[in-house]
Amino acid sequence: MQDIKSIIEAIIFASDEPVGLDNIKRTLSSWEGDVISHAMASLEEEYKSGCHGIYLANVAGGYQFRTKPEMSEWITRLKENPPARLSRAALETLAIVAYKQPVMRAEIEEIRGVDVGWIIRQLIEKGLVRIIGRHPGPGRALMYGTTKKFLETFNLSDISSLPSLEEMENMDLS
Amino acid sequence: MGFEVRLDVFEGPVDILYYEAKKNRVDIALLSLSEIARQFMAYLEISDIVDIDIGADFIEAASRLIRMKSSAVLPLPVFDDEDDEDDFDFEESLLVYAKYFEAAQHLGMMPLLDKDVFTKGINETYKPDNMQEQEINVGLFELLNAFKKLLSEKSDMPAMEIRTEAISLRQRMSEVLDICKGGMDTPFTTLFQAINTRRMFVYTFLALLELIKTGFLAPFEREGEIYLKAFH
Repeated sequence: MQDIKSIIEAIIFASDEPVGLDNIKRTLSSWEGDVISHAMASLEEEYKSGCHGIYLANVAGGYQFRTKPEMSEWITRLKENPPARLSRAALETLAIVAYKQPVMRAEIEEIRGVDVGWIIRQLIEKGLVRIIGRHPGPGRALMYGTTKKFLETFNLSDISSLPSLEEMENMDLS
Repeated sequence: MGFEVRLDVFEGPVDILYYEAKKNRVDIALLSLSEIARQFMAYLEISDIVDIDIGADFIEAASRLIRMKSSAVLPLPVFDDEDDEDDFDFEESLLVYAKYFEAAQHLGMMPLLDKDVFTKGINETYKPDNMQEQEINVGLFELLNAFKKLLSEKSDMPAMEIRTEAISLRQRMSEVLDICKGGMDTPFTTLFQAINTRRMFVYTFLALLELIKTGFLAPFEREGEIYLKAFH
Protein backbone atom coordinates (compact mmCIF):
# COMPACT_ATOMS: atom_id res chain seq x y z
CA MET A 1 0.00 0.00 0.00
CA GLN A 2 1.17 3.49 -0.75
CA ASP A 3 2.32 5.66 2.10
CA ILE A 4 -0.50 8.02 3.06
CA LYS A 5 1.98 10.79 3.77
CA SER A 6 3.22 10.68 0.16
CA ILE A 7 -0.34 10.85 -1.12
CA ILE A 8 -1.17 13.88 1.01
CA GLU A 9 2.09 15.51 -0.06
CA ALA A 10 1.19 14.95 -3.72
CA ILE A 11 -2.35 16.32 -3.30
CA ILE A 12 -1.13 19.50 -1.66
CA PHE A 13 1.65 19.94 -4.19
CA ALA A 14 -0.68 19.57 -7.17
CA SER A 15 -3.20 22.12 -5.91
CA ASP A 16 -3.11 25.79 -6.86
CA GLU A 17 -4.84 26.82 -3.65
CA PRO A 18 -4.52 25.85 0.00
CA VAL A 19 -6.19 22.44 0.49
CA GLY A 20 -8.45 22.01 3.51
CA LEU A 21 -8.04 19.02 5.78
CA ASP A 22 -11.71 18.06 5.27
CA ASN A 23 -11.09 18.07 1.52
CA ILE A 24 -8.14 15.70 1.94
CA LYS A 25 -10.21 13.46 4.19
CA ARG A 26 -12.98 13.34 1.60
CA THR A 27 -10.49 12.46 -1.14
CA LEU A 28 -8.91 9.74 0.97
CA SER A 29 -12.17 8.34 2.26
CA SER A 30 -10.80 4.82 2.71
CA TRP A 31 -8.51 6.01 5.51
CA GLU A 32 -9.56 6.86 9.06
CA GLY A 33 -9.78 10.59 9.75
CA ASP A 34 -7.39 10.25 12.68
CA VAL A 35 -4.79 8.50 10.53
CA ILE A 36 -4.94 11.37 8.04
CA SER A 37 -4.66 14.06 10.73
CA HIS A 38 -1.71 12.23 12.20
CA ALA A 39 0.04 11.85 8.82
CA MET A 40 -0.64 15.54 8.16
CA ALA A 41 1.00 16.59 11.41
CA SER A 42 4.02 14.43 10.82
CA LEU A 43 4.37 15.77 7.26
CA GLU A 44 4.22 19.30 8.64
CA GLU A 45 6.93 18.42 11.13
CA GLU A 46 9.19 16.86 8.48
CA TYR A 47 9.16 19.97 6.35
CA LYS A 48 10.16 22.14 9.28
CA SER A 49 13.57 20.49 9.31
CA GLY A 50 16.58 22.37 8.01
CA CYS A 51 17.11 20.39 4.83
CA HIS A 52 13.97 21.72 3.10
CA GLY A 53 13.59 25.08 1.36
CA ILE A 54 9.81 24.83 1.57
CA TYR A 55 7.43 24.23 4.42
CA LEU A 56 3.82 23.23 4.85
CA ALA A 57 1.92 26.41 5.72
CA ASN A 58 -1.52 26.36 7.32
CA VAL A 59 -3.17 29.32 5.58
CA ALA A 60 -6.73 30.41 4.80
CA GLY A 61 -8.17 27.23 6.26
CA GLY A 62 -5.98 24.89 4.23
CA TYR A 63 -2.48 23.57 3.65
CA GLN A 64 -0.08 24.88 1.04
CA PHE A 65 3.61 24.46 0.30
CA ARG A 66 5.43 27.74 0.63
CA THR A 67 9.08 28.72 0.48
CA LYS A 68 10.59 29.39 3.90
CA PRO A 69 10.92 33.08 4.86
CA GLU A 70 14.72 32.77 4.96
CA MET A 71 14.67 31.86 1.24
CA SER A 72 12.99 35.13 0.26
CA GLU A 73 16.20 36.80 -0.89
CA TRP A 74 16.86 34.07 -3.45
CA ILE A 75 13.33 33.90 -4.78
CA THR A 76 13.12 37.67 -5.09
CA ARG A 77 16.15 37.58 -7.39
CA LEU A 78 14.18 35.27 -9.63
CA LYS A 79 11.11 37.49 -9.84
CA GLU A 80 10.94 40.41 -12.22
CA ASN A 81 8.75 42.80 -10.26
CA PRO A 82 9.64 43.65 -6.68
CA PRO A 83 6.62 43.26 -4.39
CA ALA A 84 4.64 46.38 -3.53
CA ARG A 85 4.97 47.40 0.09
CA LEU A 86 1.94 48.22 2.18
CA SER A 87 2.21 51.67 3.73
CA ARG A 88 1.91 52.16 7.47
CA ALA A 89 -1.48 53.81 6.90
CA ALA A 90 -2.72 50.87 4.81
CA LEU A 91 -1.47 48.38 7.38
CA GLU A 92 -3.24 50.21 10.22
CA THR A 93 -6.49 50.39 8.28
CA LEU A 94 -6.18 46.72 7.43
CA ALA A 95 -5.57 45.86 11.10
CA ILE A 96 -8.70 47.75 12.15
CA VAL A 97 -10.79 46.00 9.48
CA ALA A 98 -9.33 42.61 10.47
CA TYR A 99 -10.11 43.03 14.18
CA LYS A 100 -13.39 44.92 14.03
CA GLN A 101 -15.08 43.37 10.99
CA PRO A 102 -17.76 43.94 9.92
CA VAL A 103 -16.74 47.57 10.25
CA MET A 104 -17.96 50.85 8.77
CA ARG A 105 -15.65 53.41 7.23
CA ALA A 106 -16.74 55.94 9.87
CA GLU A 107 -15.58 53.60 12.66
CA ILE A 108 -12.15 53.25 11.07
CA GLU A 109 -11.88 57.00 10.66
CA GLU A 110 -12.83 57.52 14.29
CA ILE A 111 -9.90 55.39 15.38
CA ARG A 112 -7.33 56.66 12.90
CA GLY A 113 -8.56 60.26 13.00
CA VAL A 114 -8.13 60.70 9.25
CA ASP A 115 -10.03 60.00 6.04
CA VAL A 116 -9.53 56.41 4.93
CA GLY A 117 -11.70 56.28 1.79
CA TRP A 118 -8.78 56.14 -0.59
CA ILE A 119 -6.92 53.55 1.46
CA ILE A 120 -9.98 51.30 1.63
CA ARG A 121 -10.37 51.54 -2.14
CA GLN A 122 -6.71 50.54 -2.50
CA LEU A 123 -7.16 47.58 -0.16
CA ILE A 124 -10.25 46.46 -2.07
CA GLU A 125 -8.32 46.71 -5.33
CA LYS A 126 -5.56 44.58 -3.85
CA GLY A 127 -8.21 42.03 -2.90
CA LEU A 128 -7.42 42.20 0.83
CA VAL A 129 -10.67 43.85 1.89
CA ARG A 130 -14.20 43.47 0.57
CA ILE A 131 -17.65 44.83 1.20
CA ILE A 132 -19.52 42.30 3.29
CA GLY A 133 -22.84 44.05 3.64
CA ARG A 134 -24.64 47.14 4.75
CA HIS A 135 -25.30 48.48 8.22
CA PRO A 136 -28.98 48.09 9.08
CA GLY A 137 -29.08 51.56 10.64
CA PRO A 138 -29.87 54.87 8.95
CA GLY A 139 -27.79 55.59 5.87
CA ARG A 140 -27.18 51.88 5.28
CA ALA A 141 -23.43 52.41 5.42
CA LEU A 142 -21.19 49.81 3.77
CA MET A 143 -19.54 47.30 6.07
CA TYR A 144 -16.05 46.01 5.32
CA GLY A 145 -14.27 42.77 6.12
CA THR A 146 -11.13 40.92 5.13
CA THR A 147 -10.90 38.39 2.30
CA LYS A 148 -9.49 34.90 1.91
CA LYS A 149 -6.64 36.52 0.04
CA PHE A 150 -5.89 38.52 3.18
CA LEU A 151 -5.39 35.27 5.10
CA GLU A 152 -3.23 33.87 2.31
CA THR A 153 -1.17 37.04 2.07
CA PHE A 154 -0.48 37.30 5.79
CA ASN A 155 0.11 33.59 6.34
CA LEU A 156 -2.90 33.20 8.63
CA SER A 157 -4.87 29.97 8.97
CA ASP A 158 -8.05 31.85 9.86
CA ILE A 159 -9.05 35.22 11.24
CA SER A 160 -9.13 33.96 14.82
CA SER A 161 -5.44 33.06 14.61
CA LEU A 162 -4.61 36.74 14.92
CA PRO A 163 -3.48 37.41 18.49
CA SER A 164 -6.14 39.27 20.48
CA LEU A 165 -5.64 42.97 21.08
CA GLU A 166 -5.32 42.25 24.81
CA GLU A 167 -2.60 39.67 24.21
CA MET A 168 -0.72 42.14 22.10
CA GLU A 169 -0.64 44.76 24.83
CA ASN A 170 1.67 42.46 26.76
CA MET A 171 4.00 41.96 23.82
CA ASP A 172 7.02 44.18 23.42
CA LEU A 173 7.22 45.16 19.80
CA SER A 174 10.00 47.69 19.95
CA MET B 1 15.33 51.33 3.61
CA GLY B 2 13.04 53.92 5.18
CA PHE B 3 13.98 57.01 7.09
CA GLU B 4 15.40 56.71 10.60
CA VAL B 5 16.18 59.45 13.11
CA ARG B 6 19.38 59.64 15.12
CA LEU B 7 18.98 61.43 18.41
CA ASP B 8 20.71 61.14 21.78
CA VAL B 9 17.65 59.53 23.29
CA PHE B 10 16.51 57.40 20.37
CA GLU B 11 17.64 55.94 17.08
CA GLY B 12 15.23 54.31 14.65
CA PRO B 13 12.05 54.82 12.63
CA VAL B 14 9.88 57.80 13.59
CA ASP B 15 6.73 55.76 14.19
CA ILE B 16 8.61 53.63 16.72
CA LEU B 17 9.74 56.85 18.36
CA TYR B 18 6.11 57.90 18.65
CA TYR B 19 5.29 54.55 20.18
CA GLU B 20 8.13 54.89 22.69
CA ALA B 21 7.04 58.40 23.62
CA LYS B 22 3.52 57.15 24.17
CA LYS B 23 4.79 54.49 26.53
CA ASN B 24 6.72 57.21 28.36
CA ARG B 25 10.03 55.54 27.56
CA VAL B 26 11.14 58.70 25.77
CA ASP B 27 10.42 62.10 27.33
CA ILE B 28 8.37 63.98 24.77
CA ALA B 29 9.11 67.32 26.45
CA LEU B 30 12.83 66.92 25.83
CA LEU B 31 12.46 65.70 22.26
CA SER B 32 13.61 68.16 19.59
CA LEU B 33 11.00 67.93 16.85
CA SER B 34 12.81 70.50 14.72
CA GLU B 35 15.87 68.26 14.76
CA ILE B 36 13.75 65.35 13.51
CA ALA B 37 12.31 67.51 10.74
CA ARG B 38 15.81 68.70 9.82
CA GLN B 39 17.06 65.12 9.57
CA PHE B 40 14.12 64.15 7.41
CA MET B 41 14.78 67.04 5.01
CA ALA B 42 18.43 65.98 4.82
CA TYR B 43 17.31 62.41 4.15
CA LEU B 44 15.08 63.57 1.30
CA GLU B 45 17.96 65.50 -0.21
CA ILE B 46 20.32 62.55 -0.35
CA SER B 47 17.84 59.86 -1.37
CA ASP B 48 17.41 59.76 -5.11
CA ILE B 49 14.02 58.01 -5.13
CA VAL B 50 10.76 59.72 -4.31
CA ASP B 51 8.55 57.40 -2.28
CA ILE B 52 5.21 58.96 -1.43
CA ASP B 53 4.57 56.30 1.23
CA ILE B 54 7.70 57.19 3.16
CA GLY B 55 6.72 60.86 3.03
CA ALA B 56 3.17 60.13 4.14
CA ASP B 57 4.27 57.88 6.97
CA PHE B 58 6.71 60.48 8.21
CA ILE B 59 4.16 63.29 8.14
CA GLU B 60 1.68 61.15 10.01
CA ALA B 61 4.14 60.14 12.72
CA ALA B 62 5.55 63.66 12.97
CA SER B 63 2.10 65.22 13.33
CA ARG B 64 1.27 62.81 16.12
CA LEU B 65 4.50 63.75 17.88
CA ILE B 66 3.74 67.45 17.49
CA ARG B 67 0.26 66.96 18.90
CA MET B 68 1.65 64.99 21.80
CA LYS B 69 4.40 67.47 22.49
CA SER B 70 2.08 70.47 22.33
CA SER B 71 -0.21 68.95 24.92
CA ALA B 72 2.81 68.08 27.08
CA VAL B 73 4.57 71.46 27.09
CA LEU B 74 1.73 73.96 26.75
CA PRO B 75 -0.17 74.99 29.86
CA LEU B 76 -3.53 73.24 30.08
CA PRO B 77 -6.47 75.58 29.78
CA VAL B 78 -9.01 75.42 32.57
CA PHE B 79 -11.92 73.21 31.58
CA ASP B 80 -15.45 73.33 32.76
CA ASP B 81 -17.14 69.98 33.29
CA GLU B 82 -18.16 69.44 29.71
CA ASP B 83 -14.68 70.06 28.35
CA ASP B 84 -13.25 67.65 30.89
CA GLU B 85 -15.32 64.96 29.34
CA ASP B 86 -13.99 65.80 25.89
CA ASP B 87 -10.49 65.57 27.25
CA PHE B 88 -11.21 62.12 28.61
CA ASP B 89 -12.56 61.00 25.24
CA PHE B 90 -9.39 62.14 23.58
CA GLU B 91 -7.27 60.10 25.98
CA GLU B 92 -9.51 57.12 25.41
CA SER B 93 -9.31 57.38 21.64
CA LEU B 94 -5.51 57.57 21.86
CA LEU B 95 -5.52 54.33 23.82
CA VAL B 96 -7.77 52.66 21.27
CA TYR B 97 -5.53 53.89 18.49
CA ALA B 98 -2.43 52.58 20.27
CA LYS B 99 -4.00 49.10 20.31
CA TYR B 100 -4.52 49.08 16.57
CA PHE B 101 -1.13 50.63 16.05
CA GLU B 102 0.35 47.58 17.75
CA ALA B 103 -1.94 45.28 15.79
CA ALA B 104 -0.69 46.84 12.55
CA GLN B 105 2.92 46.43 13.69
CA HIS B 106 2.23 42.79 14.36
CA LEU B 107 0.54 42.33 11.00
CA GLY B 108 3.53 43.96 9.32
CA MET B 109 5.81 41.38 10.88
CA MET B 110 3.96 38.37 9.49
CA PRO B 111 5.75 36.57 6.64
CA LEU B 112 4.13 38.21 3.64
CA LEU B 113 3.12 36.18 0.59
CA ASP B 114 5.14 37.09 -2.52
CA LYS B 115 7.61 39.01 -0.40
CA ASP B 116 8.83 36.68 2.33
CA VAL B 117 7.19 33.43 1.32
CA PHE B 118 6.21 32.14 -2.10
CA THR B 119 3.95 29.44 -3.43
CA LYS B 120 4.86 27.37 -6.43
CA GLY B 121 4.43 29.29 -9.68
CA ILE B 122 1.22 28.42 -11.50
CA ASN B 123 1.69 27.44 -15.12
CA GLU B 124 -0.66 29.75 -17.01
CA THR B 125 -0.90 27.54 -20.08
CA TYR B 126 -1.97 24.51 -18.09
CA LYS B 127 -5.63 23.72 -18.69
CA PRO B 128 -7.24 20.91 -16.78
CA ASP B 129 -9.41 18.43 -18.69
CA ASN B 130 -12.60 19.33 -16.90
CA MET B 131 -12.89 22.69 -18.58
CA GLN B 132 -16.58 23.09 -17.88
CA GLU B 133 -15.75 23.22 -14.17
CA GLN B 134 -13.38 26.12 -14.67
CA GLU B 135 -14.73 29.38 -13.36
CA ILE B 136 -12.93 32.54 -14.34
CA ASN B 137 -13.38 35.78 -12.47
CA VAL B 138 -14.99 38.55 -14.46
CA GLY B 139 -14.11 42.22 -14.08
CA LEU B 140 -15.83 45.44 -15.02
CA PHE B 141 -14.38 45.43 -18.55
CA GLU B 142 -15.77 42.00 -19.37
CA LEU B 143 -19.17 43.04 -18.01
CA LEU B 144 -19.16 46.26 -20.00
CA ASN B 145 -18.20 44.41 -23.17
CA ALA B 146 -20.98 41.87 -22.65
CA PHE B 147 -23.41 44.73 -22.05
CA LYS B 148 -22.31 46.56 -25.21
CA LYS B 149 -22.62 43.38 -27.23
CA LEU B 150 -26.15 42.74 -25.97
CA LEU B 151 -27.15 46.33 -26.62
CA SER B 152 -25.93 46.16 -30.21
CA GLU B 153 -27.82 42.92 -30.76
CA LYS B 154 -31.05 44.53 -29.61
CA SER B 155 -31.42 46.66 -32.71
CA ASP B 156 -35.21 46.44 -32.61
CA MET B 157 -35.50 48.87 -29.74
CA PRO B 158 -37.45 52.07 -30.45
CA ALA B 159 -35.35 55.07 -31.35
CA MET B 160 -37.36 57.29 -29.05
CA GLU B 161 -39.20 56.52 -25.88
CA ILE B 162 -41.94 58.38 -24.14
CA ARG B 163 -41.48 57.99 -20.44
CA THR B 164 -44.64 56.63 -18.93
CA GLU B 165 -43.49 55.30 -15.60
CA ALA B 166 -40.61 56.02 -13.30
CA ILE B 167 -38.17 53.19 -12.73
CA SER B 168 -36.52 52.95 -9.38
CA LEU B 169 -32.99 51.58 -9.28
CA ARG B 170 -33.63 50.04 -5.89
CA GLN B 171 -36.67 48.23 -7.19
CA ARG B 172 -34.80 46.99 -10.23
CA MET B 173 -32.03 45.79 -7.92
CA SER B 174 -34.41 43.63 -5.94
CA GLU B 175 -35.95 42.29 -9.15
CA VAL B 176 -32.55 41.36 -10.53
CA LEU B 177 -31.64 39.76 -7.23
CA ASP B 178 -34.87 37.75 -7.29
CA ILE B 179 -34.07 36.44 -10.78
CA CYS B 180 -30.57 35.44 -9.72
CA LYS B 181 -31.69 33.80 -6.50
CA GLY B 182 -34.20 31.71 -8.42
CA GLY B 183 -32.01 28.75 -9.11
CA MET B 184 -28.48 27.89 -10.11
CA ASP B 185 -26.06 30.38 -11.60
CA THR B 186 -27.87 32.83 -13.85
CA PRO B 187 -26.56 33.64 -17.33
CA PHE B 188 -25.86 37.34 -17.80
CA THR B 189 -28.07 37.45 -20.89
CA THR B 190 -31.13 36.16 -19.00
CA LEU B 191 -31.44 39.45 -17.16
CA PHE B 192 -31.90 41.36 -20.41
CA GLN B 193 -34.15 38.93 -22.22
CA ALA B 194 -37.56 40.48 -21.72
CA ILE B 195 -36.40 44.07 -21.91
CA ASN B 196 -37.37 46.26 -24.84
CA THR B 197 -36.41 49.78 -23.83
CA ARG B 198 -32.98 51.28 -23.69
CA ARG B 199 -33.77 52.92 -20.35
CA MET B 200 -34.62 49.62 -18.73
CA PHE B 201 -31.51 48.11 -20.28
CA VAL B 202 -29.32 50.70 -18.63
CA TYR B 203 -31.16 50.46 -15.33
CA THR B 204 -30.76 46.71 -15.28
CA PHE B 205 -27.05 47.03 -15.89
CA LEU B 206 -26.70 49.68 -13.17
CA ALA B 207 -28.68 47.51 -10.75
CA LEU B 208 -26.39 44.61 -11.58
CA LEU B 209 -23.26 46.68 -10.96
CA GLU B 210 -24.62 47.89 -7.63
CA LEU B 211 -25.45 44.34 -6.56
CA ILE B 212 -21.95 43.18 -7.47
CA LYS B 213 -20.41 46.12 -5.65
CA THR B 214 -22.34 45.37 -2.50
CA GLY B 215 -21.38 41.72 -2.72
CA PHE B 216 -24.80 40.17 -3.32
CA LEU B 217 -23.81 38.85 -6.74
CA ALA B 218 -20.51 37.67 -8.17
CA PRO B 219 -19.91 37.49 -11.92
CA PHE B 220 -17.78 34.72 -13.38
CA GLU B 221 -17.06 33.25 -16.78
CA ARG B 222 -17.61 29.66 -17.83
CA GLU B 223 -17.13 28.42 -21.39
CA GLY B 224 -17.08 31.95 -22.71
CA GLU B 225 -20.39 32.91 -21.09
CA ILE B 226 -20.79 35.31 -18.19
CA TYR B 227 -22.82 33.99 -15.26
CA LEU B 228 -23.93 35.48 -11.98
CA LYS B 229 -23.70 33.70 -8.68
CA ALA B 230 -26.01 34.86 -5.89
CA PHE B 231 -24.93 34.84 -2.25
CA HIS B 232 -27.66 34.23 0.26
